[in-house]
Amino acid sequence: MDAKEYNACVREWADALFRFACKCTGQASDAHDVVQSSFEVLWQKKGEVDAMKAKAFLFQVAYRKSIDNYRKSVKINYVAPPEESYAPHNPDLKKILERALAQIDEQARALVLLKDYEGYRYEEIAEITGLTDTQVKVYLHRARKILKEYLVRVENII
Amino acid sequence: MIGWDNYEEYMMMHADGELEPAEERELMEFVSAHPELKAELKAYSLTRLSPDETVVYTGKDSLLRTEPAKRVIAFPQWWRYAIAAGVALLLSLSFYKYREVNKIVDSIAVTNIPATITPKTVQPIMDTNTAVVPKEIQAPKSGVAIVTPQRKIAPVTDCKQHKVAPIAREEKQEHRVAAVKDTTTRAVQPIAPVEQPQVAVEKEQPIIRVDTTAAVAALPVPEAQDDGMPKKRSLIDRLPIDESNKNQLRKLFRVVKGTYNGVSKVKQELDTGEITVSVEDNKLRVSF
Repeated sequence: MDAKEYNACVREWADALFRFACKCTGQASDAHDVVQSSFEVLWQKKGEVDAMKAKAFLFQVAYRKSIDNYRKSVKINYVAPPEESYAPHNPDLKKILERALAQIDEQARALVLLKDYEGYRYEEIAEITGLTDTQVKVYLHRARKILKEYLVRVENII
Repeated sequence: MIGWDNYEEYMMMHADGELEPAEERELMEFVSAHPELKAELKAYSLTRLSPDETVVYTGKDSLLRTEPAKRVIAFPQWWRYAIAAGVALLLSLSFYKYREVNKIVDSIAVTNIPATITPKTVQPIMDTNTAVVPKEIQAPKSGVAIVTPQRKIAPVTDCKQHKVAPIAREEKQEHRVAAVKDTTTRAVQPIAPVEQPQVAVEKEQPIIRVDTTAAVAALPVPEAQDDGMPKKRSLIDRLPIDESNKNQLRKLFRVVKGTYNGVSKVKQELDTGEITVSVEDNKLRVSF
């Protein structure tokens, strides 16, 4: 990968990576750091990373950095999304889903985001996160069930 | 097969978008058969998040790297380069043409047979039907012939017979070369210093040198005679030694011959009785 291809990756994937990092970390400033660090690693390893696999590499680095960032904090209260990433089309459903995301752990949240935001398949998520396909499927289903149960609660019925 | 024990997993996979079309149809049929599951299926579908495209990363410029600029070579005085290129091209063509001409000359020198053989010359004949002698490799006057190795080097066929090859004998044979000596009056001169046999070779072989002086010097050459007919040479003349040595040898021969004649005369007088020699009482008596 040369500088031209690297810059193309920046223009194409920086926004998606930032959205993913925002949901994972819950803080816009942390998300900025994750994105910056991820691209820094990509630049350092540009000779080893193929341009076609740059996106997966970026999300892999961002996932690990987000997890590390989460573990460094004693506790993260996923109370509200970053303001710049919050643009609800359906305010009620969006708010309920944001609260529902706060109910699941950071790893399950990252899996849901990789699945729903980026559309990765189970095996691709497994490659990014370092989990097995079965683990990805189990964790995802567990997260889906938590989200569903949150939505169908009496006070959250839509 | 969807049942009550696994329908929920199918619904979650439906939310994940991982179901195959056939599985998707099967799930819809199962839900249609059990309408009480429609709300649950809708709830799972709502858990699917959609990215907010309005959220963007504002620090892209800080992430961009400088791309290497394209190299531009300016030619402010292009005519200088044009002249240089032209000269280089001319030299290249000249060298190429020079090599081509040399190749042609070489091929002609190797393949062409001498067109004419001077009838006034007599040369030792090379014994080969296919051999060709290029002009470049003809023997120099020093008696060294340039030939190619691993070739059929034609022997001097007339050496054993001590004859001079007839001129007309080989003229009609295309691939035979007759080394001929210049003798307009048919007077044959000694070969060694001037005559060099042409050695037949095949084409395109590396050149080596073969000393033919000894072989040529060993050739018996008849001496010239006033009437044009060869006469028998003396033994000294036939010896393969320098002329000075021959002269010394002749002087010695004359001394020996004179002594021999004196002794023969004394012997003849003794035989005629004019001189009587006897030994008596241990004394030699000579009577005249």
